[in-house]
Amino acid sequence: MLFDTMSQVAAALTFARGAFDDLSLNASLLVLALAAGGEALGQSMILTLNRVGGLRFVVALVAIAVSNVLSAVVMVVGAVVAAALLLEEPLHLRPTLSVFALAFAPRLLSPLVIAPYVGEAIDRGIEIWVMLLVVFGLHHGLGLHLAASAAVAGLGWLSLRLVNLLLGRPFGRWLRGLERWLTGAGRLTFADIPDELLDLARGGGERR
Amino acid sequence: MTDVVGVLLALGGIALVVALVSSPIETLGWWSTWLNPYSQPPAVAPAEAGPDRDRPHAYIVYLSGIGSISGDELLASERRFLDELEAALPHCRIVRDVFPYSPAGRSLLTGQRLFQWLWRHLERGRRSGRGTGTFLVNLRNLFQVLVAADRRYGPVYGFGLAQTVVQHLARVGYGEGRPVILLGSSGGGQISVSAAAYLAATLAAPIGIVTVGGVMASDRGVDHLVRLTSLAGAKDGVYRLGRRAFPGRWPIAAQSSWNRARAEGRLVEREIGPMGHAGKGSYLDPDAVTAAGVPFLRVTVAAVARAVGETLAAGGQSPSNGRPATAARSTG
Repeated sequence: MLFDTMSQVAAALTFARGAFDDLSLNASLLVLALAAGGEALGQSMILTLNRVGGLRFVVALVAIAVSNVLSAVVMVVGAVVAAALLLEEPLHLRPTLSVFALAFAPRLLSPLVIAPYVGEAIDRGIEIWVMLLVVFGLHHGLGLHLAASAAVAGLGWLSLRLVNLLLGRPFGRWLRGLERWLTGAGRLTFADIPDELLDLARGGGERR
Repeated sequence: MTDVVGVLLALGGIALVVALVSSPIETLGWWSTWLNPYSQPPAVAPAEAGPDRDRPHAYIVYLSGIGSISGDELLASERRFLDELEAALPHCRIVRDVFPYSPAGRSLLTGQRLFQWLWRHLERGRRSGRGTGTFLVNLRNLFQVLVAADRRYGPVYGFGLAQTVVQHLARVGYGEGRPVILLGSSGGGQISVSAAAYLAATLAAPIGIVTVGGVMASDRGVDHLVRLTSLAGAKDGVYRLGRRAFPGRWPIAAQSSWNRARAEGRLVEREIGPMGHAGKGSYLDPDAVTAAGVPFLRVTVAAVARAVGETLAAGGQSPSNGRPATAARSTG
């Protein structure tokens, strides 16, 4: 199964025509889980910036990976709902999940995002690659018209943004508590580190 | 045979990617205290008493090119260059033992490093004239230049290196408020701009940069400089590549730190002669001569000395953010 999955991933990454035919849900879910793990590794620098170490580092990494899987599931559900509203024939959850899961294969390369200077460009490239593969997979794997594939993929992505926006408020307090536990008292981001360090260099701040 | 070559190329490619992806680990590890316990930077001495003529007018900190393996072991050409520069600038103190390709200034030859054995082996080979080590050292240090230029890791790298520079300055009796000029060669240019903001904030002193064949991005450190002079040779392809590789230096990025400093007259790019980047015919070559018969090494020394003079003259000016560099500490 592993060899078949790897062949299918290689075919999907290169937009090969038959890549999304006869998808096995288990194989696609394996790809999704590995891609979520790869993405979590790519995002792990932020944990290091916040000096999260040891067990908390592992727990945070797993939490990020799980959140990546949940994000994918939200996208799929959003796409299925959008298709039910827009298309004459609705999409079924299992094949749609298989297509999306395999389309996330470029995220297996997400650890490359850690690379200096080119990492951020690689990250953007991977996201574009994933979206193009979702459209390609819906078109070739589920037989949707190209325009319908693009619309369903776009609405799936939009539904993820919407869920983040709506659930951010009620779950925000709980999530912030978890974040504080994982990252310590103050959460540093790459955007605010230059000013934090300037303050520290001037002798005006404690090192977090 | 072709298969073997293919496998070797593939393995080489994988090793290169792994080396690139793992290159920020030292910076992040240093920051997260996995590798080094953090210590507050040493306090610099208050402004010295005594006659002004006895004190150095400025401190010049040399940040070597990517061929460097340790702050204590400069290449012979660099030693000769710094000796001549010292003679040309008798009122300046030159600090020459900072290793710029580690945020904590840790030499590649120190016992704390995992690959210390490899670097020692390569250094021995380099000394005995076998050049196999040069490529690996250059590659390792080039990746650190990319770390310093990265928006995510660059500030941590620059902060660490600035603290290292402060430690070295304190060792030579640096007095508070004295101008500091970072003299960056090749990749040392990027390291200089990364560290500049944090050095200015720590020392509350005017900071300038002079680079020779400097490869650097448009770093926000440029905003904190009284002056940056980028010296380059007409045949320096690496320098020209560096100008194109960093979008912040393109004329289209009018609001970048680099282009704003240029517009304000705080940043000057100057061609100094027909030098190449490294090796024969490069900036530090004492044998190659200009059309007028002046050795390249002497041309470079004169150009750096002139740039240092201009930087010191500009020392009283305010940087682009409208805040005098000397008031940086009080604004914290």
